[in-house]
Amino acid sequence: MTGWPWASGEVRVRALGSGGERLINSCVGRRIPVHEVRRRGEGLTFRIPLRALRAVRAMAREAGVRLRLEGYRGLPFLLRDLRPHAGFLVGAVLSLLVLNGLAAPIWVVRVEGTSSLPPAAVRDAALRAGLRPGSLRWRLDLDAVEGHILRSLSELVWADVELRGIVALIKVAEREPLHFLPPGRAPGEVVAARDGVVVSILAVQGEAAVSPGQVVARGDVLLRPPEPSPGRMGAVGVVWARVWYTGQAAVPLVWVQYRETGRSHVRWSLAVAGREVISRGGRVPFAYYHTNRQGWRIFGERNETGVVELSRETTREKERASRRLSGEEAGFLAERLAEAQVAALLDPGARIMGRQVERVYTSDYARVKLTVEVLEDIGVPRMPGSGR
Amino acid sequence: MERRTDRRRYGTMPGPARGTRFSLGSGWPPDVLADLPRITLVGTAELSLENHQGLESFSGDELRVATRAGCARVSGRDLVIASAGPLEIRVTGRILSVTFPAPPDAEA
Repeated sequence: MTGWPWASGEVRVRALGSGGERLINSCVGRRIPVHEVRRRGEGLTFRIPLRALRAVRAMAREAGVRLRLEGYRGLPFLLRDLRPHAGFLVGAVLSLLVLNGLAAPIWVVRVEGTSSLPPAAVRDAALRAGLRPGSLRWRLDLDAVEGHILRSLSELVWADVELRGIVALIKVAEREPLHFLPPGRAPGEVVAARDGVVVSILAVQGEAAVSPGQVVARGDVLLRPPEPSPGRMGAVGVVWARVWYTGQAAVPLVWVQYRETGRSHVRWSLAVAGREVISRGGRVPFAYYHTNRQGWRIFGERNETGVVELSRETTREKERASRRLSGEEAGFLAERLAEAQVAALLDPGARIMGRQVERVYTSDYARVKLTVEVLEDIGVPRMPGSGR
Repeated sequence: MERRTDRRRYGTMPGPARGTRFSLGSGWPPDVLADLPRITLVGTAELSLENHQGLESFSGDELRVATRAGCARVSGRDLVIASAGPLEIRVTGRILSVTFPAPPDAEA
């Protein structure tokens, strides 16, 4: 029983006699709610509201039914039982009121998330916005407090105020400091992604730090951000430069390959504590082979002393095939390999201006050194924190 | 011809038959127009009977409720009338069957 029935009180009655159903019909007809009707022996038991007891008694007399009160529950009965202990009741109510009163104001203001900024500065800003120990919870406008803290302290980029019981927790995030930049460097510069010789510069925003024909190394500043706001606006532009890429490869003149013949050999073994005790299959009868091993632990755990393990080794025979390449063939292959190396390094927008191939032949190898000259935009914006 | 068939089908019921006939033609639900009982069974554990006309008898195994369609008989085990109101009777327990008396012509 919950809610209103409990608050208004309910009684459980037993209707003795043959007219129990008639009594229930009478109750229903007079809109008296009847609950939990059960047959118990000759009578019916059911629950009715306390306020309807007098009317139900009268109806029972009319129906020729004897009504017996079997139980009661609800707030009116609880209050009646508590009346002799009025002091206890008053104490409980007073305790609740005191507890509620004590929980109404903020007792502690805590700050989280500061690193260089002292927490007291955040607390002061909150105090000026009305958040301090003693402020009433329901009078606080948390959005206004957050806004005031952010406006007062330019070092902060984010603030959030959360009420946790009697504690007001102010969480803040400080602006990222710029101390990681090397001395003499400002954020927003365009720097060289690789070594090269500058051909032309187009500074859309900011000013050029190098001139055409100048040799630059990776990380050198190419474009500087516009003055007077170096921290807010980055330099934008294109710096074309000649860059050289090198790839080297060596191909042996004797080309050896191993191919599977299709023959295989299986060997079973049982090992106790890492020592082989039984084996079947004998030695591998191939000169060149590749072995696969599968193991099953039968007893014990891994790394245990008494572990028993069954294993199967499958060996597949391979044959050695060698082919002697001509110097031209090996040189051609080496050049393709070197080209692949260079291609992996090139930017998609790079234009190849020239290439130079050096071939060196020894008794065993053909070696190739490939140098490719390209024209590409080597400028990249140096992001804060990238370290370049 | 068709009218006679209708009379034979619904003639055994007094008042509701007229409403039922009309409701079948009009598309309105018969329980609304003819005050016929509406029974909702939730599994075998709960039964709700709307538009009843009062309790006739109740024991732990059987409940008889008067309706415009005749006396509805609910049989089962450990039956309890969870609530009884002017519009609805809700029964819980293990419900085994719900039956209505057969019309006289069906019995013949």
